[in-house]
Amino acid sequence: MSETAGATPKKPVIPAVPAAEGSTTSRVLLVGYGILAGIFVLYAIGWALGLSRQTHIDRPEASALSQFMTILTSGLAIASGPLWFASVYILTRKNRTPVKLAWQVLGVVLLVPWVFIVPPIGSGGFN
Amino acid sequence: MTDTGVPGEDRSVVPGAVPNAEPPAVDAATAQSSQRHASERHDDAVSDAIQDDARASARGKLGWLSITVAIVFGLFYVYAFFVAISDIVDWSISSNAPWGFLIAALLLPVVIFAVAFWVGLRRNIFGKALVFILGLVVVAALTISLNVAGDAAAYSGGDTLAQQL
Repeated sequence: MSETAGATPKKPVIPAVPAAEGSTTSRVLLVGYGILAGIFVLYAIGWALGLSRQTHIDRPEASALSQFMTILTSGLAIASGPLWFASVYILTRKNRTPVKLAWQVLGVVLLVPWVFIVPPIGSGGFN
Repeated sequence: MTDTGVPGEDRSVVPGAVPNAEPPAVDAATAQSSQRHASERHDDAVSDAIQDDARASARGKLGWLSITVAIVFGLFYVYAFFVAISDIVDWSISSNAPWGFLIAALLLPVVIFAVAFWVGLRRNIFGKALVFILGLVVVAALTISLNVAGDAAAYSGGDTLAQQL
């Protein structure tokens, strides 16, 4: 941002600098972000479908706090992939491309929707 | 904020106050200026607090704002911790409790909070809040995953996870 703001007087320089600087890295980053965004969207769908199979999320006998936290946890889990993508995108803005992609891949590993993959067994679950 | 608010006020004043336009215009102008001064003073106090906190964070220290944010978000991590304790108590009467997953679910909020605290240590208050929210998201997703996996382990073979490992 500061580079473009400093370079505003010289107009022809602005398009030349980013294109010449990191054409390969930016292309890798763009493709990587595209793949990652697709994965995280699929994760959101997986979490939503997986949690919809869990019958014990709606528990009228539980306390109001417990019910609220269950809904909050379910919502955070469904949104976890897109939230991770957006948050890591913001938090690693000043980092190099491998660092950016490594943090994104960590999210792909951590946020796998096992609730969708593992077939529902028994009546137990999370509170 | 003040810029977006001013045109809206003008638009609401103009249709109703066509006959006597001048006195409301003066009143509105003074009201706007006083409001703007008040909001600027308010912004200054808030941004001062944020900048003080950011300066402390840059030195690796914790300002009062950082501590407050850590405590507020920490409450949600503590809730996940107590739910994990509750699950262990519930499972303790069972003969095939998935202890590995239960203990992992107990340690999870503690570890993730520590990681989030460390990652956000030198960031400003917005970065800290974002990292704590991201940590909560990970705790939520992994807690559900651990519960699902724990259930699968408990109900599949009859063996506990510890015996399976």
